[in-house]
Amino acid sequence: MAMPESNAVKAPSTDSISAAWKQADKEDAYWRRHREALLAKYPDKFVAVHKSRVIAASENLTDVLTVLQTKSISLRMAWIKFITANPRHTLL
Amino acid sequence: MVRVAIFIPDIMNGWVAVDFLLDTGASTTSLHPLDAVSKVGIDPVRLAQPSRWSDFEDHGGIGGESRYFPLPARYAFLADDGSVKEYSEQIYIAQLTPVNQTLPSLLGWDLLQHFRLNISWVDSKIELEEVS
Repeated sequence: MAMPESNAVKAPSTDSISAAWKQADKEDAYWRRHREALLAKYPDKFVAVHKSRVIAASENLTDVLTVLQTKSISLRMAWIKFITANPRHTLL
Repeated sequence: MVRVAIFIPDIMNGWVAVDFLLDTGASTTSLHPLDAVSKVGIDPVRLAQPSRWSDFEDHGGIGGESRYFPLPARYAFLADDGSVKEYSEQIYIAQLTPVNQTLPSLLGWDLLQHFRLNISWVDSKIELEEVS
């Protein structure tokens, strides 16, 4: 059910939406460009990238997050993706 | 996957774009841990602990029965002509557990109700056409 207008969430300017979109496109481009190399080196692992460098890789997301925090890298400043050759099969 | 910009005022300062799996079996929209942590920046320790949230609900879903933390959210869809359409709904943030780390975030009927869904396997395309 839609929220009543009086309860509507006030959001930052819509101009910043396009910035968020561009950031996502930039991240996508990185993963596409490096997919094969990352897959060869880190199959079935979470990979964290910061400033175009792989900072951490692990089968466990929390291990990757721990490395980022140890290196004082903000979670939102890193890109994290699960790299696998197997397409994800999800029963919805 | 469908890209949607989200803003969760209780825990965010600005918009982020998240890719959601379209889920016609879900009544609500959910954010799973990988996106919650890496896109929204939620502390993983907090994400694992229900006691650190003001509210939680248990829902069945693709990861089995899971605990979710509901928060008010704003969603923005970018149309082909560059215009933006925004909606206010809850977002259900999944508790971080060992079994849901790779799950995608899911776009449910709370938002899908605003659109006509055009799905083409042949063209590998999903279109959300706003219902006026």
